Amino acid sequence: MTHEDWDGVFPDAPQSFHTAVEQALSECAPARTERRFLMRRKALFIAAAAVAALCVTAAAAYVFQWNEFMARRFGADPQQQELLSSSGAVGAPEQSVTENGLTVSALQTLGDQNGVYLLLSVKAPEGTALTDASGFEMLSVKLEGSDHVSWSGGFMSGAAQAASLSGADNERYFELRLYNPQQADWNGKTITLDFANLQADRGNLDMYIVTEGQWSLSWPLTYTDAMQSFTTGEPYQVNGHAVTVDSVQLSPLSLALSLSGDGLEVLVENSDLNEAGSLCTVSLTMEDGTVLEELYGPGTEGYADGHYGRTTSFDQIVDADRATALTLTFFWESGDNTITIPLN
Amino acid sequence: MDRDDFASRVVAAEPTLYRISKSILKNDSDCADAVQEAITAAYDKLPSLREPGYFKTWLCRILIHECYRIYRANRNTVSLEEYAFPETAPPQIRDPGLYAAIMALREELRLVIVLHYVEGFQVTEIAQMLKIPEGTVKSRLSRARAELRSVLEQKEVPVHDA
Repeated sequence: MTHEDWDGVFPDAPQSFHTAVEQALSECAPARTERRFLMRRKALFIAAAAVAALCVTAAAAYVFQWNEFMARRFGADPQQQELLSSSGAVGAPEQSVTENGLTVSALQTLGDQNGVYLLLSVKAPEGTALTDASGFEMLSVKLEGSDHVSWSGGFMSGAAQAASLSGADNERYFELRLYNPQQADWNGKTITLDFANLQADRGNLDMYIVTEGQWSLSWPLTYTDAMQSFTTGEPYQVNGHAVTVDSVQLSPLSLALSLSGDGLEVLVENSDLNEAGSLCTVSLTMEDGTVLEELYGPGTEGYADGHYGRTTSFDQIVDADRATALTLTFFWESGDNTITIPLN
Repeated sequence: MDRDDFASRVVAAEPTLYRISKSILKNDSDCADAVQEAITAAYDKLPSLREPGYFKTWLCRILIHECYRIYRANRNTVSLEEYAFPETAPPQIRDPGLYAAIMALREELRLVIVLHYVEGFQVTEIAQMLKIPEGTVKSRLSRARAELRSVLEQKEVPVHDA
């Protein structure tokens, strides 16, 4: 399905909207922007370097060869791959199931206490293209000992060349994220994935089954325990609202953050956390001054009973041992909206 | 980016801004309020835009926030416009059934459908715009597709082939 299929689905903007845009633009004073433009600070956005946080002897454990795509996906260089692999963060399920000419394979996993990333591949029969709009009619994720597991994922988006190893249009990577905000012990627990009926889209969401069948994969999860804890309990002010940073946890793969305080409820109300968004952005400052900006990777975020909890899995491997500060920006507060938490 | 460049980019994005605000607020006068607030806020925050190439995504993000602010404020009220002229499919649109089905979705699903299918934003861009994980965007798109199909089938509205 293409973007053009949706032309004309929505009405054109009415005159009242056009007038509102013109009026707002007319009220933007020219001098203000140019003056402030000079004050713009140069931002740094650099992927992290080595993963020294994992002080594990490489020879002490079996080192998996990283899947090429997963290494690229997480920007892991050979040293990082070896350290994470030897620490036990990488799992190799090596599971595969074929039915009606369609094969689903579980390739590798990467995880810590906050969650596990699963990389799978799907190879459809010759002549069946897998696209951004492809999907399974049903996907069930079950974990031994857990009533419910939060997960997200699907086929890799983008051009076939980027979304599959071979570039063939009937092959595509499929990725899943399992979220573990309670940091339950999943090590050794059996994960079961049940897929049913591959679907394609004729256009405008006219989904139809292209390959019928059921595909089931099952294996024990493994991941590493690499979180460093920074319990601060320090009070901060955000635009006049009191916030306490109860704890920060950091690993090369993710972070966990817990906040409380009398002013937190107002900050949540001012944000769009309860609709579709987020309370704040997080960034990490490294010891060489490098800033890893806006780490809004997969994770969970919520506010209940005066407490805000967040887990964020990084899209790039982070050298957690070299992080010196965590900065939270409450981006919809008009001023004084940043707090910086030392990590030491 | 100077003021003229800012203005020309806003004007170019106007259709997108309308559809996004419409997908959250439905009411045209609220959409107009939201876009005015968003443009003013964007101009004020312009120095924080580090990469001009992301202007449209950035502006949409600001608009979405303004829409939610108005949405929350209006949650318990019904405007005169909505009361007197309940939402109906405008005459110029191509597929009234599909439009009505989209507008009947829950707001969080409607928004990702509009951003992805109508506006053509990639999953990655939507994730950045909403500051939510890509997987969540995909999940919402998946749920939205399923719900749209269900609604369209119930209404027996023919869907277009690509």
